[in-house]
Amino acid sequence: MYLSRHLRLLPKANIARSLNGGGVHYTTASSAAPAEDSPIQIPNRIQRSPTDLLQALAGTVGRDSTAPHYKYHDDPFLIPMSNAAKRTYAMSKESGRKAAQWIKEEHRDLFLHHEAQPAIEKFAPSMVFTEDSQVDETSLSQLISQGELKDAVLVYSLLEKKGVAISSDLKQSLLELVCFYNNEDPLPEEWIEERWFLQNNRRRERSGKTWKDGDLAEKLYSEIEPKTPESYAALIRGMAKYLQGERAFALLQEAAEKRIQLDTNTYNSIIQIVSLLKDTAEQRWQLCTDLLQEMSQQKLRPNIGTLNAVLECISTFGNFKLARTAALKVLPEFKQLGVNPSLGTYYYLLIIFCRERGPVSHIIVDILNDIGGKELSIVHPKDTYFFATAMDVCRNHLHDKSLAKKVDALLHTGKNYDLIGDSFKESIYYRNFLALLCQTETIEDFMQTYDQLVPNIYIPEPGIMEEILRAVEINGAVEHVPRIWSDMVVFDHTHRESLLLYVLRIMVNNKPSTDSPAHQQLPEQCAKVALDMYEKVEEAVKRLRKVSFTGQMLGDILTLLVRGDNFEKATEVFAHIDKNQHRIPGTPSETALQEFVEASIQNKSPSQALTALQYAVDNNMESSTLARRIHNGFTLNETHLAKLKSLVGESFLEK
Amino acid sequence: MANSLTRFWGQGSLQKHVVQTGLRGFSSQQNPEVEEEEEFRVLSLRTVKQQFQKRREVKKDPVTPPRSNRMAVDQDWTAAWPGPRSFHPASVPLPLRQGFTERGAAAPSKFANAELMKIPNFLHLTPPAIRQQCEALKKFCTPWPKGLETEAKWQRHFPVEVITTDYLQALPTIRNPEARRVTVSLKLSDLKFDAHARDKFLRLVGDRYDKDTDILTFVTDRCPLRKQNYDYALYLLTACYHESFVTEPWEATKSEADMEVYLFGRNKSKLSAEEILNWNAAEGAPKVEPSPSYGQSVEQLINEGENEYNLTKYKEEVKKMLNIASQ
Amino acid sequence: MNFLNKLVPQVALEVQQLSKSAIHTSAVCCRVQSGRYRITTKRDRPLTYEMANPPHFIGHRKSWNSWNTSTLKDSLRPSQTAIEDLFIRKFVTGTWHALVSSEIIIKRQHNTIRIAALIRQAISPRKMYFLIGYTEELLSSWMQCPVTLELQTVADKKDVVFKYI
Repeated sequence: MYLSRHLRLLPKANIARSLNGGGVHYTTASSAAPAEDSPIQIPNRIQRSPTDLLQALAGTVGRDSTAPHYKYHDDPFLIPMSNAAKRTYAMSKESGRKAAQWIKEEHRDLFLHHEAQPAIEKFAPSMVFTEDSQVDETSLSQLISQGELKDAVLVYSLLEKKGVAISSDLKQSLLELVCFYNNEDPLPEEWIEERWFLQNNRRRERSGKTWKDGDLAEKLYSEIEPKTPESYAALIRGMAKYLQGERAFALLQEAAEKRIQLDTNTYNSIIQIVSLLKDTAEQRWQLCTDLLQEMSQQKLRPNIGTLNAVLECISTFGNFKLARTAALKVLPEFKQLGVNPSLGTYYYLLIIFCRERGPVSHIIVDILNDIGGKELSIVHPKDTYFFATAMDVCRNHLHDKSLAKKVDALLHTGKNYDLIGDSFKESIYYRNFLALLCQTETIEDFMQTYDQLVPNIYIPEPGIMEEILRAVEINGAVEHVPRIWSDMVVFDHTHRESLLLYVLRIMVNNKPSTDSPAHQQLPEQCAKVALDMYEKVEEAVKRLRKVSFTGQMLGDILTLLVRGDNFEKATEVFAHIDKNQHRIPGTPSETALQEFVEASIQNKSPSQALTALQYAVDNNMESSTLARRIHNGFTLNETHLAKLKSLVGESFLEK
Repeated sequence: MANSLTRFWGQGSLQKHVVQTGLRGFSSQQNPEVEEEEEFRVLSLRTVKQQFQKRREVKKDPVTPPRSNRMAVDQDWTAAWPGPRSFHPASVPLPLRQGFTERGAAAPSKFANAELMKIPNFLHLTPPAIRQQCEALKKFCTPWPKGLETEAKWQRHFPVEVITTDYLQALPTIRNPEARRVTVSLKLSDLKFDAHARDKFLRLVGDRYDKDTDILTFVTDRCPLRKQNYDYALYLLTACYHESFVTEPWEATKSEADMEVYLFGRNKSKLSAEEILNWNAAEGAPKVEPSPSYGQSVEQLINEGENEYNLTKYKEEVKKMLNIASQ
Repeated sequence: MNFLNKLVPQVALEVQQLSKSAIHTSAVCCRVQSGRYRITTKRDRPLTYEMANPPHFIGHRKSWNSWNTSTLKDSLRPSQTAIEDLFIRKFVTGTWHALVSSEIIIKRQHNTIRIAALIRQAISPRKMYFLIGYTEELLSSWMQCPVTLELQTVADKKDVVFKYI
């Protein structure tokens, strides 16, 4: 329970500290000490931060491929098995945490005890500012440094009401805070699941300007007299971020007229919105170059933000040729200026060069040579878009498996996995990866990767399932079908009719041979799959998203059941077909009926055979072969013969 | 009860409404009584009881089988159980059982077994895991200094030993008042004294010196912080050391009762011995001094206590001094 | 008793003297009855392993439910830890109402509290996750320590039954 530390701190004064040679083996035996007083040097303690040891230990932990993500509870009942379940479970856990936080804030007088030494702030209820709280400048500066927007604004208005003089520095920092967030509280950082599943960025980029004109930011700006470069910078950047293009540009020009020196990042934010200001590619490029010229005139050094902003602007050009030439010009120039490209740069390059309707570009090979094997860290917000886009390029643009594997290796080196972004990008990444692999790899290797990734890291969507089934069909690897079917059931893909038909088709077309050991169990398994599907469709009748039976589907089910030696169920299915003839579009295929008749012959039930024949006759199907088969296969008694005659006529009996 | 109520209000929609809200006991028994609307209906309570069994069965999705079935035999266990965790049967692929049962019965299996969850398990500290973690921590370790291989060498180069204790406890606080205690110890032979200084030092230090092992120990805990206690202990050591070399004027009043050792020269025994030896001496004859070895034996006898050796030595010396022939 | 006093006055005196003696230690009541369950006539009362073993088997056939360092010699805060344990047990039983099928096991390691229990699968996993997030967060704020739940779910309550009494 306790550690005793023996400190040997006081050597004899005459011992100097220098190394003694010779590696004597360490013993506790008190041997005769040598007479010479050799100086002892104690090596210095290796400096470490509070979490270095923990991180070193954490680095030894690999990945368990059967376990879910650590945010889910590791219990079979609580492991999510579909994309919807993953999202729901994570979000409901977070909503539980929110409920607890709400209770803590609501009943804060119950949570005032301080058990922890040293005190942990997060466990205590947060400060609440009301109309009557005593505030002063220090509380305002504290709130601004903590990034609490609403409280800071409230405190500011309180101070204004009281008439307290606020220093211009403080006003500037408040202006910066308000401009950065557009006077809206951002989603708190503790709600990580919500942030992970939030697909906000796409929506925001498509929508128009969200900047609040005439709101608090501009009020604060007008209060700052005289106008400093920082205040101009803050307002311009805020307007640019929230897509208020014209006014931001107007402010920039105003600042230029007044000879106010702005900084690099402000220019970066304007370059980012050049696409809002001008329409054609030439105009945008012109404006871009003008802005860059202005920057160089003002002796502003460009940084990675500049490079990425320029590339973002270029990526919006409609004119592909101009885009490519411009990008190729820009990149080496910036490299000369000492700006190293980040993942965001590479993302923009990919979307500029690897367009759908353009020529094929192998720029990704160069990119991967550049960054392969390196440990990357986030430098620019757009860095998280790289991996998903890279995988997309590998799959759609280039169809190259080795490149995809290189990208995957890069993703898994060191801590690069943090750069995957959010759940949406992760799913895109793996979707493309698996689709590419199932098209280009052998089915065995693919199933190995599939085992590792599914279901804990990635759950395939129905579209990818279809690709996988296609690969299985092409390879004729029927033995994987039962496994894929069980996965489909678990992931809730059973409402997709095309998938169901595909599965049945594969199973029916690839009749398993009894030679290979893998196929021994296969007829039974296929029969089970078919039965499962039948039951599911039956049950789903009550639900909204249901699949209804088609004749083809039922015929396939019938065939599989027959092959799996499950004749009773087969008769049940056939009875269902027969009864609901009018409701089922289409009819089972001829081969299905034939196999059913064969089976009924084997199981000695002529009545079934005759019902089959009747069905065939009713639906204008090829019944002569069936009739002949029945006649030859059974020794029919009177009633049956009579029925047979009534169905097909006398002529068959003579043949 | 409410069966009859609903029929007062009329049939059809209201009845259906009652049925659809899922209230138990108001479902299907209405049909035979509908025709007798005009007559007085008999209240039958017995029917209500039977309805209770027809509760709608909640359809449950099948639970996935435990993931221990899918674990490879050669998996990396350190990745599967990285930290201390309560036992979970679906995550551990071992067929464990725990519990006391009567003779012949199998112990309860690992599923739904609270006993297995209670006991601390060390699945996170298997030998490969420990090896891995030690390898990872090696980069923070420095080598043992050369020249300090044996304990004797430590003693020689670093004679002072400082012992402090850190306490780990399973509580919200990391503070423990016992952690402020500091123990500083060293061997007295490492300090240089002269006779007076040694005597004074030992008197100053008192209990803290252990004669048998020759170790001087200072235990301090009177200050609230460990650093303060450490400084105080060193201060005590230095102060006592330097103070012991200073002779105060009042030390001259040291009397025989204060003496820590018995010195033959100062004591009555010398006078008595001289008297005995010079008993019959004439006046003016040179005094016969007791021999120094006699003095030594007396000192030894009184300082070290009575034991065989001292007593025999004293006897020899007395015999020698008094010239008693040994027969 | 009373009517006897009225009938026979001389008995009353003796009875008075008798009542001064320690009747509460008389043979019938002086027995240990903690943690023991009475046998039913129909023998259908289900007991878990925990319930089936009376307290004198703790350390022999049963293990402790609460693991911390505050009961060692010279340790700090034993009473507050015990009260916190009680609070946690009541809180968890109430929040997961009618779902907890075993005793609640509380293990403290350094600063963290790990709560383990058996839960019935009577509510959907979504609701369970809500309760997990809620319990962890609220108990963390209350105890001012990080709290993690380590639950095991059981399909139905018959799985935890050890014997029928």
